[in-house]
Amino acid sequence: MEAAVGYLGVNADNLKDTELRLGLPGTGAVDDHHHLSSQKALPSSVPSTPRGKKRAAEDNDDEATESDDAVEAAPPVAKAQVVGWPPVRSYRKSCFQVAASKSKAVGNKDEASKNTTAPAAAVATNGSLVKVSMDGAPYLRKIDLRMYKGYRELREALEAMFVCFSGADNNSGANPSEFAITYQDKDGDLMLVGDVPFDMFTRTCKKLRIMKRSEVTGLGSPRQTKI
Amino acid sequence: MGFGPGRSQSFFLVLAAARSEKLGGRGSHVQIGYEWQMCFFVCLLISCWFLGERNNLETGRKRIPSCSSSSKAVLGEGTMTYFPEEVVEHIFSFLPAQRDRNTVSLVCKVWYEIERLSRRSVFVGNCYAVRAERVALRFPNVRALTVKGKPHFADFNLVPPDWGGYAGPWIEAAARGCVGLEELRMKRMVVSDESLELLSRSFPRFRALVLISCEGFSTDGLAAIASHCKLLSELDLQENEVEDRGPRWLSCFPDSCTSLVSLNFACIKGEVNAGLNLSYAPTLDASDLTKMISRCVKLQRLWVLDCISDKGLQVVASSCKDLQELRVFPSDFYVAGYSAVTEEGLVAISLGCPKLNSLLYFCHQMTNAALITVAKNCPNFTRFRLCILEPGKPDVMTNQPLDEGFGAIVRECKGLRRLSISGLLTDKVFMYIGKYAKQLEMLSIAFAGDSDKGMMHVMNGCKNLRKLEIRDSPFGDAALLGNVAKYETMRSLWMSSCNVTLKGCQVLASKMPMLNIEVINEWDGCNEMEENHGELPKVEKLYVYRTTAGARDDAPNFVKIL
Repeated sequence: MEAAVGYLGVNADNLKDTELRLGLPGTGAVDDHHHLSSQKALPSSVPSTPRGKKRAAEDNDDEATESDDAVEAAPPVAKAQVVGWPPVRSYRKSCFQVAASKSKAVGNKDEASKNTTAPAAAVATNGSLVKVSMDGAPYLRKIDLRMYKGYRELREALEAMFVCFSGADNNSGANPSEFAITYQDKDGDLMLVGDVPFDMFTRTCKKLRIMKRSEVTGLGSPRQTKI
Repeated sequence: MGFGPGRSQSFFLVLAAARSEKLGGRGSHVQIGYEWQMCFFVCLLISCWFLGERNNLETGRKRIPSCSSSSKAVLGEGTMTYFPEEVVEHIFSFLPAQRDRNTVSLVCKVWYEIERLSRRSVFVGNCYAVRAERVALRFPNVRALTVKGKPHFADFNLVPPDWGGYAGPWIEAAARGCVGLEELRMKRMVVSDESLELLSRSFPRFRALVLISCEGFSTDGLAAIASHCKLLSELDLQENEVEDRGPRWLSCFPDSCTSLVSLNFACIKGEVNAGLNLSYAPTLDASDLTKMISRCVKLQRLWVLDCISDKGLQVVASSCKDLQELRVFPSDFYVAGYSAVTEEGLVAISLGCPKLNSLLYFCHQMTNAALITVAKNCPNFTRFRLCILEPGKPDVMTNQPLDEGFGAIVRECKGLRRLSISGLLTDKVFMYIGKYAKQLEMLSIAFAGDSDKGMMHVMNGCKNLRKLEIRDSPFGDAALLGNVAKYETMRSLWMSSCNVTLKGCQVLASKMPMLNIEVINEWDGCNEMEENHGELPKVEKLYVYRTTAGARDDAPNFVKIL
C-alpha cells in the first residue's frame, strides 16, 4: 500500500494528510483504496493469463481483533477480510504493520526498510501507538514508542514531525527550547517527559503533547526540557 | 504389564509394531547402519522366542508368566545371563527414534524398564495427549524434551487466546523428576516468566532452549535464563510474542560466558550457508534480489516475498539447481490484491529445480495445467502447500475446479507427507487424495468440498494421516462420525466453520472415550446452544485429539470438553 502511494508521486503522502475530511489521519476513504489498488494492477509486463480481480463474497471484517497497530496501518474498513485468512502467521503480518506505521511516523522510507529486514523476536503484545498533539497544529500525529531507543531519538523524531508548524514566525525554524514535551500517563496526569527511565516512560505514556514553554508552569525549570 | 515368552512374545511384538504409532514419534532418524542394528535386534528377539518355545514344548502347555523372578528359569534368566542390562541398554541406544523405542518397551516388563531409564529424548506432539507427571515419572533420565501445544491453526488467530497450551506443568514436572534435562523445545505454548525462572534454576546441565511461536513471557524471563544457565550453548527464539522490557536481559549473560554457541532471535531459520530468508524484506529491489540469488548456486532453501515475481523465480530456476525448499510469501495480504507471482513462476521452478521437495507458495491464481506440469517435473515433493489467496477461486484459464491439478500432485508425488490445498475444489479432489496420498500425514483444507463424502474419502483412504485441519468447508456430522476408529490413529482433528453440530460431537464423545472432544465457542455460545433445541446448532470450532490424560483441567470457560 505504501508502495502504491509512491506510484502517485512524491508528495502524495503529504497531500493526503492535508486533505480536509472527517476522520483520523491514517484512515483512508473507500475511494482512495480502490484507486490505489487499480494503480497497482498495471504491471509492466502483461501476463498471458488474465489477472483475476474477483472479490471474495463472504468476507467478514473481523480483522479488528488485532491490536491498535493493525487498525492504524490497515487499509480502510471497506476492504473486508476473512478471519485467519490468508494463512500467514500473525507474527509475519504484524512485522509488516509495524514497518508501515513506522514509515508513517518517521516519514522516511529508508528507515522502514532497515526495520523490516531484521525484525527482532520481541514484539509487544500491547499496542504502543500514542497520539502526539502540538499546540497550534491543525492535526495530530501518531507514533510508535517502541521505535525509539531513548529520549533523544524521540525528541529528534518529534522535532522532525512538527517542524512545519513551529516555523511560522521564525525564519530559522523551530527553536527547541520554546517547547516542552509532556505526556499523559496511566493515571491521567500531565507529566514532563524525561524524568523516568525510558522503558518505564514507554509503558506508562498514553498521549504526548508538545506545549509552548509559556504555558508550562510549575513543571520544572527551562533547563529540564533538555533531554 | 506382563508379557510372556514364545508365541505370546512374537504376538506382542507384532501388536507393538502396530500400536507404536499411538505413542507418537516419527520414523527413524538413523539411516546408516540401521539395517545391521535391526538384524542384531531381530536375532535377539528370535533367540528369546526360541527359549520360550523350548520351554513350551517341555512343559506341554502355554504359559504366560510375567518377566518376574519366577520366570527367570524360562526366559528372564535366560536372556539376562546372555545379555545383561547394560548390553540390552547398549542395543537400545542404536534405536534413537521414538517410535522404535516405544516398540521395544512393549516387549516385556524388563525391557520396558531398561528402555525408559535409558531414554534420552522424548517428543510430545500434543501436550494434552499425556500428563506431564506421567512422562517425567516414566523417563527420569531424559535429556531432551520437545512439547507442542496449540493446534496449527492457532498461527492464524483461529484459536482464541487463553485456550491453553501451558508450559508450566511440563517445566514443573521436569523440575521434580528429570533434573538431568539439557534441552527443551517448545512450540505454540504459553510460557510464563516464572516458568523460565524455574527452568533456569532447576537443571544444572541445561544447555539449549528453543521456543517457537510461544507467548506469555517477557525479556525478564530471558534474563533469568541468561543469568542462571551457566552451560547455555543454544538459545533459539523464533516468532514468539515476547514482551520487550528492554535490552537489559542481554547483559545478563555472565562475563565469563564462554559456552554460548548459537543465539538466534532474529527469525532467521537454519544455517545461513544453506538457506536464505528474505521474507521480511519487502523493499528489497527485485532486480537486486534476483542478481544476488543468481549467484547463490548452492542454495538449498530459499524464503522470499512475492515481490520476486515470476521473472525472479525464473532466475532462481536457472541458477539454484540444488534448491530443495522454496517459500514464497505474500507481501499484500488482501484477497483481491495484486501479486507478481503466478502459476508461471511455479512451473519455471519445477522445470529448473528437480530436487525441490518442500514448497509453500502464496499466489493469486493457478491452473490445473500448471499443477499437472509441476507434478510431472517434481515427483519428489514431501511437502506441498499452495495458498491461492482468494478462497474458492477456480482455474483462471478454464474456470474449472482445481481438482485435477491437485489430483496430479498426489498421484505423482508418492512420498507426499504434507499437503495444503486451496482454490475452487469439489469432493473429487478428496477422492484423489484418499486414493493416492498414502504417505500423507498432515492435510490442511480451507473453503473446499461439496459434501460429507469429501472428508470421508480422506478419513478412509489416507492410511498415515496424523493431523487433519479443516476450515469453512461443508463437512458435517456424517463425516465426523463416518470413521470414528480413525481418530485413535491420529494426533488431532481441527474443524472450524463447518457443518458439525453439538449432537454429532456428543455422539463422537460417547463412542470414543479415549478422545478429548473440545468444542470451542469464543462468543460464549454455550447459552446459545442450549436455547436452540429446535434446529441443530453448529459448532463453531472443534478440536478432537486422542489422549491418555482425560479431560484437561486448565480449559477456559469457552471450551467445553465432552
